[in-house]
Amino acid sequence: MTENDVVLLEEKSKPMAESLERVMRELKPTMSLTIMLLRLAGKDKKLRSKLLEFIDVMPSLGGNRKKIRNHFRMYMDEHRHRFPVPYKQMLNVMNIPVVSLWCAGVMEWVIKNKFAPHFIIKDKDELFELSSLYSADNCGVMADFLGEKVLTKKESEQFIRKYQEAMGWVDRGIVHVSVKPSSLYPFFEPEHYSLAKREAEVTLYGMFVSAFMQYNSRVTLDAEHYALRDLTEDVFCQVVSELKISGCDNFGIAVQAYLKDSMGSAERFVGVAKKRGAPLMVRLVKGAYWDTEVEIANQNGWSVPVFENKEETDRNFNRIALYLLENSDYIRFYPATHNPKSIAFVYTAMNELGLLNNNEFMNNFAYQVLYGLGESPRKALAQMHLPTLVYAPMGNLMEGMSYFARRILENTSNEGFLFTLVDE
Amino acid sequence: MSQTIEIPDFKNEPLFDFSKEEIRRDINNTLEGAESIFGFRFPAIISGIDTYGVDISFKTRNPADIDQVIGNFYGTTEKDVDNAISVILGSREVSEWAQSSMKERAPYLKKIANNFREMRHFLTALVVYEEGKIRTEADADVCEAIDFLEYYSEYGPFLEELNNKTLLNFPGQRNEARYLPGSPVPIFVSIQPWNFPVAISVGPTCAALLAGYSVIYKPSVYSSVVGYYIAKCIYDSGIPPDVFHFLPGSGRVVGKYLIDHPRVTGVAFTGSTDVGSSIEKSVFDFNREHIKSLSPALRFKKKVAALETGGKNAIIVDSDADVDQAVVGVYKSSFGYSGQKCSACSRLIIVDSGTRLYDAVLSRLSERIADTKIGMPKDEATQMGPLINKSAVNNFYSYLNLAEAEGGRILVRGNVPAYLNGYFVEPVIVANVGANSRFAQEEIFAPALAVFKVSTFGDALMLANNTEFGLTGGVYSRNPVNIQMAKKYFNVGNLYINQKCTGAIVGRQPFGGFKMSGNGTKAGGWDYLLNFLYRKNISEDTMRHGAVLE
Ligand SMILES: Cc1cc2nc3c(=O)[nH]c(=O)nc-3n(C[C@H](O)[C@H](O)[C@H](O)COP(=O)(O)OP(=O)(O)OC[C@H]3O[C@@H](n4cnc5c(N)ncnc54)[C@H](O)[C@@H]3O)c2cc1C
Repeated sequence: MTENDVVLLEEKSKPMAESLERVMRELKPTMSLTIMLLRLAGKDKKLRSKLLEFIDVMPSLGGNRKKIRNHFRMYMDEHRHRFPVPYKQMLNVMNIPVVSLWCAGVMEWVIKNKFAPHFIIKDKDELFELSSLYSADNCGVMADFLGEKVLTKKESEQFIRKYQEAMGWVDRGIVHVSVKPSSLYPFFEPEHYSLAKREAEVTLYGMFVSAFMQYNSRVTLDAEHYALRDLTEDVFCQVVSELKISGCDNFGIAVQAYLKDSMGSAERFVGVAKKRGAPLMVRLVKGAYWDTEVEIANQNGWSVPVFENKEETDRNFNRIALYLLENSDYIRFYPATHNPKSIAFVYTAMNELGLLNNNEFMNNFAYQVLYGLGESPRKALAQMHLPTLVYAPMGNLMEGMSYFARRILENTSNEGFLFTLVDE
Repeated sequence: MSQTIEIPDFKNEPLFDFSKEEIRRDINNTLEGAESIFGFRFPAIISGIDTYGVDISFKTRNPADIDQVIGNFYGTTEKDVDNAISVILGSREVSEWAQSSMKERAPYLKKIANNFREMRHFLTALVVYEEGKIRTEADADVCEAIDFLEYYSEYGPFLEELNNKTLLNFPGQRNEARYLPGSPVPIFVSIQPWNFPVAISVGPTCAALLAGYSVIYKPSVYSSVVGYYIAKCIYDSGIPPDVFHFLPGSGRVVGKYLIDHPRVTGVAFTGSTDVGSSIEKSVFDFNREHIKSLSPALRFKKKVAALETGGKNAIIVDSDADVDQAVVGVYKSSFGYSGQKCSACSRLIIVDSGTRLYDAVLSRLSERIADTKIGMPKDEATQMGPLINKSAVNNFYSYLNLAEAEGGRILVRGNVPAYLNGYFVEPVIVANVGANSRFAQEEIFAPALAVFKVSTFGDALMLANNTEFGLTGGVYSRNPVNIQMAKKYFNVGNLYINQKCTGAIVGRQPFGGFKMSGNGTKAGGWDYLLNFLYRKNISEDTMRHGAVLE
């Protein structure tokens, strides 16, 4: 693979990207309410972030209407002038005592019952329903668990129990489970590297063994902040190297293409897979913590680990995608993106490498998309009969919504495809 | 005519990024290698010359392993102090140093900073062994010292320039400002603690050097090997040797003698509030009484004192706080370096208006403490090390007994493995103590956190301010009105919102408190230097019979 190959394939994939984008735009209305929420603030980032902050703080208000109203007022009042006229009038209503309390109640209800279900699955029954609904589209579901940060061993154990339970859902059609590395141990941080590594390895080993032996479930480690990257990869590589079982391709990990040195990670996983003699799954993403990574690096005077313009991230995503596809004997490849250009690139590369007609490959391949947010790419891909896998965050609707708001908040300043859709 | 003046481009020394394998490896190697230099005899240093006395009077030990002696010292005596002072009084270098400008002295600070950078791994390791800090805390200490040096070396000359550029000048009238240390033979005594043995030693010591003083530096008897290497870095900058002297020894003997010495013109002290107050008083008396007895040539306006003393700092967790963030922040603020920081949080105030936030925060915090791995600070796996010495341990337990006697309930005790042979204690959280009880009012300097439940944010602020101290404070809240209220009424020198209340960074959070926490100096801010300086204004008529002299 040369840089030139990547550029040529990008060129080749353009027509498909364009048509995909068109299809996705047409499919967009399915999430209109959610989009409405984000549109409420128009292109005004400050206002949008206030709205998201409000959603973020909501669960801590314990359903107390007075508090909800007061917080809403406090967050919005200084931005009153920014609102479009109809919403300004709505805001005025918040000053009438009785009405405002009623409004606060409605607001909570809407966020919980109208917005949250667009992004969050509330329980396993809903997940099973989703799974059977999607199965017609050659679309699988991956269980992901929302929840507070793991700060204690007890909280870690609770997470592990949830993962274990989810591994048992294979016969309900849920083959994939995603695992947050930071939930493996409450002090999963580089400051106590050897300790964190040891503890997380023990836990992950146990989990991987039962995933394979007991359930034949597929487990993938999410990628979190850069500070945890080496630790996560070291733990993962150590554990999968110990589990050298032929045919055992149940274990996976995510690679973040926005990291300047992420090709190194991809190469490392290919190397480990070769050595252990059984394939690994790799989810390729662009990376969800861009703003935070830039801030952390700047505050500490460290070199910024992520690319600082979007094109470089996109290019690197393609580069790594091609590399992993070229190593499809060792890697089960799962590109996770909503961007039609990136989706089209992967498709074009697969076509070029003759993988589209390779059944063995296609049985172990899927585009991954997020539940709700990824609905339009999911449908577009289904129309093309391409396999997809929906990453489905599960948990308490209110708290999940707050988690979700934080995710978006963390990404407000960068240019994401989601927002280009919303901002139309 | 408008003039421009550039604000110095200061950057903090980057901390070690322990997610990097090379960095972890280097530190591990240094930690292993460092032990070979332990157990030697270390001298006092007067004008760059090693001075050994007859007897070994104290040793420093690894607080995590009492049998490991780090260094042997023969504590200096009053005679050594007199020697150093007479060298200073008779030295030409000293008066030249005092007369030169900060711009001329600043390059020495830069060189000292570089010497620290070269010894950075070693110093970090030394702090791990001699002070019982874990590596991340030790690293922060060394970096902060480098920051002080770089920061003051930039801002001293900047202040001089600012002063001169803001004076009005006219043809025929030249106005000039000089910052001076206030005496022809300005002598500064820097008496510093063990808890930030590098940063807190280097900050005031080098600020005084920059201000033109000659400095006598006395480290704590618990951090004298670290002190010795600091002295080495200072001398190795090529500074005139007569302007700096290293006198390790006991506070009760030489410390007091140094502070009261009639020739000493300035004192920097960081430590207990009792000692700080007594220094303040003795400086006051001195200024009143002794000044008259000095010969006119040696007279100076008054002895100055820069004091940084205790704290009984509170963090408020508001009812709408982000609990994940608050628990982690309180954990770090209260138990980092076993609570042995003047900035540490020792009172936690939770606003619970019926949402059970109090229980949620405390159960998570308690479990995290129970899960904390206490052990040898040199081990990468260790999250909490020991206290500094036996009396700190006794002090901790006597406060714990007191808390129980005062009706307190211990919610959690950390786990200290039995094999450890050091000054280890179990971190605790104590509930049910009265707001005015001794446990809630006195600085304990150990991992002991008192918790309180209140029902409104206003009550929380009142409780937080109910202390004789006013150093740091923290607020976890997402309520903009309450945050504004805290900004106005939380009576502390350093207020942290939605972040931990320890770890002030030079140039970002200039550090120093109100009330009994100090006398208002802000270490790591440009105005810190003004504590040491007097401003002399010179106005010269340059007109001679109508012609302006150049
Ligand atoms: C199924 C699934 C699983 C995921 N799992 C993870 C995971 O484990 N870990 C994780 O971190 N993320 C994960 N993500 C999120 C992912 O990293 C992206 O944040 C998200 O998918 C948006 O990227 P995109 O390709 O869909 O959209 P695009 O709009 O094409 O790309 C947006 C991304 O580009 C990058 N970017 C934006 N601005 C800049 C800039 N100025 N300079 C450089 N780069 C920039 C950022 O990474 C941003 O997220 C997952 C996403 C999906 C769909």
